[in-house]
Amino acid sequence: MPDDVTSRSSFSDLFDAGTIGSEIIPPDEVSATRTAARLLTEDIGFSRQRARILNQEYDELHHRSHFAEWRAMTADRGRASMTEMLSELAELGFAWRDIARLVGVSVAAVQKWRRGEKAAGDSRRKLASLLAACDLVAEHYEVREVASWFEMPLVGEAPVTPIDLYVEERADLVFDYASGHADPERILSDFDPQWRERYRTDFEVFRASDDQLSIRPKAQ
Amino acid sequence: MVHNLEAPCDSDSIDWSRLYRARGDEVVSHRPYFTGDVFERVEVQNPDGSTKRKNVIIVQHPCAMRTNGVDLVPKLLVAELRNHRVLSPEEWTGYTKNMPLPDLIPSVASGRRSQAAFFDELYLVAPERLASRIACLSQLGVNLLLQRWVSHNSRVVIPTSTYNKATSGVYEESDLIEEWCEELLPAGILPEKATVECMTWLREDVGGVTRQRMLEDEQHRSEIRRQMRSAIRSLADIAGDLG
Amino acid sequence: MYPNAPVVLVALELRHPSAEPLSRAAQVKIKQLLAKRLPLPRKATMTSIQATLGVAQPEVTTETAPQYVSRDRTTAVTFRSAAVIVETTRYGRYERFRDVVALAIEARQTIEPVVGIERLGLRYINEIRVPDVGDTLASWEPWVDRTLLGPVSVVDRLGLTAAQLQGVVMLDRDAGKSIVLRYGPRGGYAVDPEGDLKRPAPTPGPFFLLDIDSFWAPTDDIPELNPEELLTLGDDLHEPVRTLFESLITERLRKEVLRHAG
Repeated sequence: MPDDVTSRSSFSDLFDAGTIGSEIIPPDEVSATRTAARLLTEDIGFSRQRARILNQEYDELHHRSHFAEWRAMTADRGRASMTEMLSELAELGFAWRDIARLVGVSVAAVQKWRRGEKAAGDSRRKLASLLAACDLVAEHYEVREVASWFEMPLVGEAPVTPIDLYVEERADLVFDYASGHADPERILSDFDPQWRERYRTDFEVFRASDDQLSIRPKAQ
Repeated sequence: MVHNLEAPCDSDSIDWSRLYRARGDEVVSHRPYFTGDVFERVEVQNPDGSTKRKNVIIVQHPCAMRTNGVDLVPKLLVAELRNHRVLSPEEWTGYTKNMPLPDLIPSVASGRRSQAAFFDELYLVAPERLASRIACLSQLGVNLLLQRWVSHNSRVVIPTSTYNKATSGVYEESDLIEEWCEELLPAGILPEKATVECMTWLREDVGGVTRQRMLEDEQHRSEIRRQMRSAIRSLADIAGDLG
Repeated sequence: MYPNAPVVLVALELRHPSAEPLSRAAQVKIKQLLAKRLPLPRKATMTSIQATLGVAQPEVTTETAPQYVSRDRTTAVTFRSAAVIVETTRYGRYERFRDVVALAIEARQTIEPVVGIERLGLRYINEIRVPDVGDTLASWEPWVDRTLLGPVSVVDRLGLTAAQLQGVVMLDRDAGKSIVLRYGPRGGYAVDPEGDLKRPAPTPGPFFLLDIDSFWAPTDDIPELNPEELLTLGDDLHEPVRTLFESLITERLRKEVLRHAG
């Protein structure tokens, strides 16, 4: 959405003036405090679709917000049943405990849903949102193996994964990371400015002679 | 550098449920026993030979619990649980003899709602005596338990992320076995048999490496889960045809 | 303040007579003045589209303006050619926000002062989210004042469902001050989580918008900009906002939603 949109008159075919009557006078323009932040509020008579008709340059100036797309895809995905959605996530290879975390419920709740118990409306939407986010990541950014991508750390030295970003309501960073354009370390710093200190460690995991994973101090 | 003992959450967003995978009747009975499992009223033996019933938690390392991947070792190391006030996240850097378990029993309001494991009250228990499981810890909970337990014994504090790397493969195994058993129960396959089947499947060599080994690398986990779910479907179909 | 406060963006816009874009030297000096709170400089791009009757192509203008951002990317000050914008997605308390405003105005007036105030606006954008709220207008009845739901009961009686509502009301105060309230049920977000300011992005879903825009515009001459007086005016614009917000929500929303952390 452009930051500043003024529309004058209701007779232009660029705007949806509603059912045309003769000489309908539009209401006065209402004063608005402008922000640099991008607002997504809709105004009657000027929808995003019409913005495209209005101006081809529009899309060049403002890439379509992933969040607008995420929202639309969530609505789409939400038409399926809980069990269908859970099945799809299982097909992708997600762990049930990660699905529970991503949706913000206990593992037991997910197990109940799998057995056919009803879920609250909010949970349905969150599940649909998760699937939609997977769609976005897979389709737009051609991330293959979406479930695997979600559970792998962005950077070797820190255990932070896209799951952690998503759970902390930083889906913007998830989409950023998926785009492949952003530097993973910058994304991590955005998420947690202290990450380097927080995950600095004197220990490492290695495979011992008995073939088991073990812990030892790092070589100096 | 010196690491501090960690807490499961910050004080501005307290959420003790992050410690637990399941509590009370959420616990799935055929989930394999694992480090951090809490049992109630277990008969334990004192040094003088007398016995008592205590609530206990398994502190045995996840990789040291089984002889052959399926059967539990004859003796499991457990620590006693007692009622304990809820510690704030900041307080988790202290209380080095304990593993706090706030909201262990969320259905009660009384003193036993929150407990803590006491690392200096240890017992060895035969697995058969562990009957009534009342809680399983999440991966985060297991990592915190290991951090505190090892620190208590050695004065060395290792970050939970390191424990995570070392144990998440075997934690994942438990999840997969639990799922395998759950999915095949309706087809009439009993958990004991299903567990063995699952372990056999996990130990199959696939192009020079076992699936079990592949679970240790997060890059391959979702692939293994997909394969497993497919294998379960086939087995369920077969059982359905036979049954 | 509520642990689960619904405010997602607070913005103060000072509009002034058009000035020359800030020189490079001025930008450097301002950066130094703001370095402690807002150390990250960037270029903000703002697009305007103006469409007029009978004109086939609407006018699109893009302005690039220097912007100074906090390290956690929740607060920013932007110096446009005809406005100073101070905004934050991490509001907390008015006093803290006021401090940033004071800092921004002082920086502007010290380096390349502007000559007057054409408008001062203070805008609070709230996304009220309630778990498990339904999709219809009527689902918001327990949570917001009935008057914000328009003709919901009338249409109910007629067997119709109110699917969308976009409310705008302008309330006049004294001496050139007004408040514009924009409200209604919405979906997704009111403030783009992919914008330049970082904000928490809950999964997209229904919310109730309460956009309170408290502003002043001169009725006569355009007055000089006096920083002290400007801050006092800002305080005056801020004063009724809280009361207005509280009168538009229900006690149930307070109890069950706003007072619950995360």
